Amino acid sequence: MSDLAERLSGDARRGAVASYVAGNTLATIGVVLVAVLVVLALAGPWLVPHDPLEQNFLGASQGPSAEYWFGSDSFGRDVFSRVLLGTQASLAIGVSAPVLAAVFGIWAGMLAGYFGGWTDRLLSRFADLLMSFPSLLLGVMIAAALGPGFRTAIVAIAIALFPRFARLARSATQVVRREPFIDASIASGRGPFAIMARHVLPNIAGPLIVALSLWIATAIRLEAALSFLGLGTQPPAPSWGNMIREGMGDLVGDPWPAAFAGAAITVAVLAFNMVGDALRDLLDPELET
Amino acid sequence: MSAPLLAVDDLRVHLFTPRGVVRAVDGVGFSLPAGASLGIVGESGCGKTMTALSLMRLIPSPPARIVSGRIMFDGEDIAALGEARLRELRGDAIAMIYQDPMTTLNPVFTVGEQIAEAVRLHRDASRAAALARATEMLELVGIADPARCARSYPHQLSGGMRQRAVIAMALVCHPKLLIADEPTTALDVTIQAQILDLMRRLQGEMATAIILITHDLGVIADLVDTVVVMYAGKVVERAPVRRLFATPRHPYTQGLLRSVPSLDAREHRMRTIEGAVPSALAMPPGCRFHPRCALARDICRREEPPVVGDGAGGEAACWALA
Repeated sequence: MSDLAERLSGDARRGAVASYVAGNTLATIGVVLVAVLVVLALAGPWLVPHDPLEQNFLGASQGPSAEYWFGSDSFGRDVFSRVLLGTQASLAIGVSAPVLAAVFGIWAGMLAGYFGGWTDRLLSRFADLLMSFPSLLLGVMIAAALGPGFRTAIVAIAIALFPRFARLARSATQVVRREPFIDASIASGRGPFAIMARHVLPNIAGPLIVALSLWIATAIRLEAALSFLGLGTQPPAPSWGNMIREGMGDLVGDPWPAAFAGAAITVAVLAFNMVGDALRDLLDPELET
Repeated sequence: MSAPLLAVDDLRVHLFTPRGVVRAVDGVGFSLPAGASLGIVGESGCGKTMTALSLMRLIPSPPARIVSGRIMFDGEDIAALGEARLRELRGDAIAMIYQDPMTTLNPVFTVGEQIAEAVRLHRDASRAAALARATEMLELVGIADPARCARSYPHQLSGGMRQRAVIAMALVCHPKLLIADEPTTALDVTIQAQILDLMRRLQGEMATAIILITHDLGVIADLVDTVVVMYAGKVVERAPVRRLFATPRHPYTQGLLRSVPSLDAREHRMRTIEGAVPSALAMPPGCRFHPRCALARDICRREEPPVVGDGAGGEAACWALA
């Protein structure tokens, strides 16, 4: 714990992070890739060379060329523009769903870990219940129940990730709960919720930040899977998942849309995983996952 | 004589475990005038920490519960107070210092912020005013560069400095009662003496009543007026500190005092009390000390000993004195 504090405290910390990232090639690549992805997601609509929805039946199903960098799909739409714009859907869902899951999951986990007893049993069994379904299956069930769409994808992925955050926060809280400074804080007149927010949360933040970045990668995969199954981003709006789905129709004749969308998913997942690994080395050397 | 600041009467704290009920504190009583100091001594597991935690209702519940008794503090019965009122009292009128200064401070906040926290919680103070108050307090506990210390994180301070900071945190709201649970056990001997000096000085300056929990009789002798000796959940002897050291009356107290190593003792073997504290789940009948007591008679094995006064403000629970 004090190790974490040393890593998080003092004036040296900004410098330490920068020098760590600079000295670690994988971390550098990860951070740069994530930064590029974020820029592409934000500026995508202004960067696309073609209208990603514009169809051109004369130029359909072409390979990569000077006109269509990544080729064109069966409707003659520019694959490069669609992959570029798909970044937006993937990141929007891939980031907001885990953040949503984190907000609820961390509080549920802290409550369970802090109070123990019945609170813990109730919350933990609920988390176990959600964990007993594979994330994708759970996502499909929720998406099917709520009807496909952007918001559904966020809610479904957030619910799938919720128990993971809850469990991690719970076990970390149980450790911090036994620290004397928690008792000292109770003895100085703080209530339980104030203690959780002020004393528990900052002390369990390290592993949770690491988990968040790793689970963003998971969420991007889940979003692609849901869109692939037709439950996420709805066509004609492009997303990596539904591009693969559309590309499946003629995978032999025109593999380019599915190939480039798949490559985009790989790059994004890899980027967030690399950042997650780097954060873990930096914030939480003891955690082994 | 006015009512004492704290009057504990027949306090019983039981632990309800799957293996049975542990009577951790079993009918403890004592009182403490405002500004006075009291020591509670005894071996590990004698119930002294449970007693101390009960005074602020900080006992781990479940499994522990106050099953009976009254804790009158400044006109209120702490044993019967609601959680909201308890929170007002904690850290304000009653404060606590824990054993280990290394872990009593949260590693992710500066020392100043943590001391200021108590001020902001109990006094309607701004952030800046609270920090200024914290810095003042650090100066009062004898830290040479208080402003710098307030900006430091706990890991940047030495053990002695941290315990000073912890004391500053406890005293920042001018509590009427300070409970210190083994405040010097985790410190080097030289630092121990400094911390005890500091506590004695602050007790005088701030007129705070102190309850000191320890197994170290040397610490008690230095700091308190009255001593309560506990054994297996019960008070076996209560007496003014000088009287206790000069003429201990209960066989257990005598044994405790004999086990303090002394330099000019002729014998080389250290004296101990034979045997061990009985299991909390299987207390012997009668006097709980009788299996280890040289003076044990038949009646000690059958019936609880009476509390016998010594006519000078002290009392002891022993058949040999009856």
